[in-house]
Amino acid sequence: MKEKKTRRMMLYQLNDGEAIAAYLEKMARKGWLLEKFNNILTFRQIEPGEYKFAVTYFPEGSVFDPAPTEGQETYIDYCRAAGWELAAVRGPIQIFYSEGSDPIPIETDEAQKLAAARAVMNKTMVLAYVLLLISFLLNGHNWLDDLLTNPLYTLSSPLSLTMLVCCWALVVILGFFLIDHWVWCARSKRSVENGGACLPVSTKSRLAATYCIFALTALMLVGILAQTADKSESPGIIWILVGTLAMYALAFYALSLLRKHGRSRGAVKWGFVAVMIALVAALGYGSVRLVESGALQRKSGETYTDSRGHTTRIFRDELPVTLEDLGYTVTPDDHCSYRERIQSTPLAAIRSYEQSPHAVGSRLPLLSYSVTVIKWDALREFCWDKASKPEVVRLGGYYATLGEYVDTDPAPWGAEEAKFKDFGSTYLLLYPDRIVTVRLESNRDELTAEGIATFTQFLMNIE
Amino acid sequence: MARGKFKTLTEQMYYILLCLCSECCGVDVMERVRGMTGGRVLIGPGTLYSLLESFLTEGFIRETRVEGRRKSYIITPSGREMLAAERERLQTQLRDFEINYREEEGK
Repeated sequence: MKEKKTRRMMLYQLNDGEAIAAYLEKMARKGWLLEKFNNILTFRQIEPGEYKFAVTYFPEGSVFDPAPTEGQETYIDYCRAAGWELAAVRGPIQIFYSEGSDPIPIETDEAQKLAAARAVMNKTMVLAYVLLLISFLLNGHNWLDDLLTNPLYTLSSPLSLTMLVCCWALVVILGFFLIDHWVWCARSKRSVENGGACLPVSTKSRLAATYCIFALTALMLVGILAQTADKSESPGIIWILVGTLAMYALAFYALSLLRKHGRSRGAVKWGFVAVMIALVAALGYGSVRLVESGALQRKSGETYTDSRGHTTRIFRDELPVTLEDLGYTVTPDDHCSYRERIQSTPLAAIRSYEQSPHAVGSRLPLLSYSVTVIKWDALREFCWDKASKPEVVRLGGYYATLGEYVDTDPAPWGAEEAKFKDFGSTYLLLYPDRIVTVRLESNRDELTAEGIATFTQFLMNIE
Repeated sequence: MARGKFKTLTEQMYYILLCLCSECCGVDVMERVRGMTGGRVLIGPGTLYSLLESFLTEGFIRETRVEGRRKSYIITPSGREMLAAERERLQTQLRDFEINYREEEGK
């Protein structure tokens, strides 16, 4: 008969050995004995009973070991002689159980116990968290930069907003885990030097932080799905997410295969490095190919190749104000694309519109405008302040300013405030609940009073 | 007060070295120390492994036999010096106690 198994998510931090042991003892009382220890804990069914568990740290062990090392085997033999059986091992972390009610503790020297825990944590948890922290700090910095340079888009985009929030929240949580661990090490060291024991850790706060990570992961997924929910956005980001998840799954699978068939730690380690390089290269190459093939672009619309051989997509969305409304004559030979984009978050909602002629030699200007509804006054003021700052772009090795806004008369627009910059002939308008940008990119034309009146009529009616 | 590594021996270090004055298999050290001390000093298997490795690295013990995974060890002259120094330290402590405790009693 097939042995019954069950799996549970590993919720505890690796340095919280006592909490892990207490949890495994609880599972054993329910009739489940730990069999495999990873991000997922695998249990096999046993007769419910009182088992004692101990999590020990073996600094010589590595996740790349194809089998327990000679030293680890000796360690396991000593434990067996003292009444402890190995339940599961994951690199340098070993979990033992004993059916006796009061076995000799595996570690009876607190200084040795602390030294082993610190050495193992430094090469597992601390290393991983520091790398993740750096990665989230860099990402968080980029999203923050986006917020400060383009607040209207960032606050309206579910993806940008959730990434901004999640990256910085993860920086705080990872920072908490690291500081908590270092504080525990320092306090335990002092305690042991004074003849005491390693100090207990706060399991509750660590568990709460772990649940926060799950919640943030869910929030990121919601952000990605919300970003692609609107028909105006392409589902490309989902494919990149699926590709990344598949890459991680393949990497873990490759590591387990390498461990199964590898002959030495070095062979497994370098084999894994080679697999990771291949997977990252494949993901990068696949992404580039997908982008180039247009598979990641929005499916609606038609493909147009101009006389210079440049291919683009032409959309036929309904726009509230078009070049035609402004008095321009648009012919099919201009190959104009009419594109509407809609994004919203609980903080802001943006509708942006663009009418762009794609035919080479077309004399039509490019028309683009956006309406961002922001309910909170303070947030609207923040956006207005940031949006009216000069746009700075990096060109090669130096920075350039793309025009500076100057105050202009808001009355024709019916706005509270209005600004204008020559670069791209862009108007920035502040209304009681929204910020509007209007851009008519042309070397010859400027918006006329009639054009402004046409816009004003539509802009205030957009919900 | 902090104890520098091997400047003084902990009770567990002391009894492991004492136990290895005669050749002994690593796995049997735990039981032998328990017997020597009437169960007063217990050495956990993890601690035993770490200390044996440290003693080997420092040259206080050496391997004598390897039978499969069973390794036997014996104390080295350097280990004996360490043990003797610890004995001297403990005897000094005891002597100091005797002198001072009797003086206090005599008052």
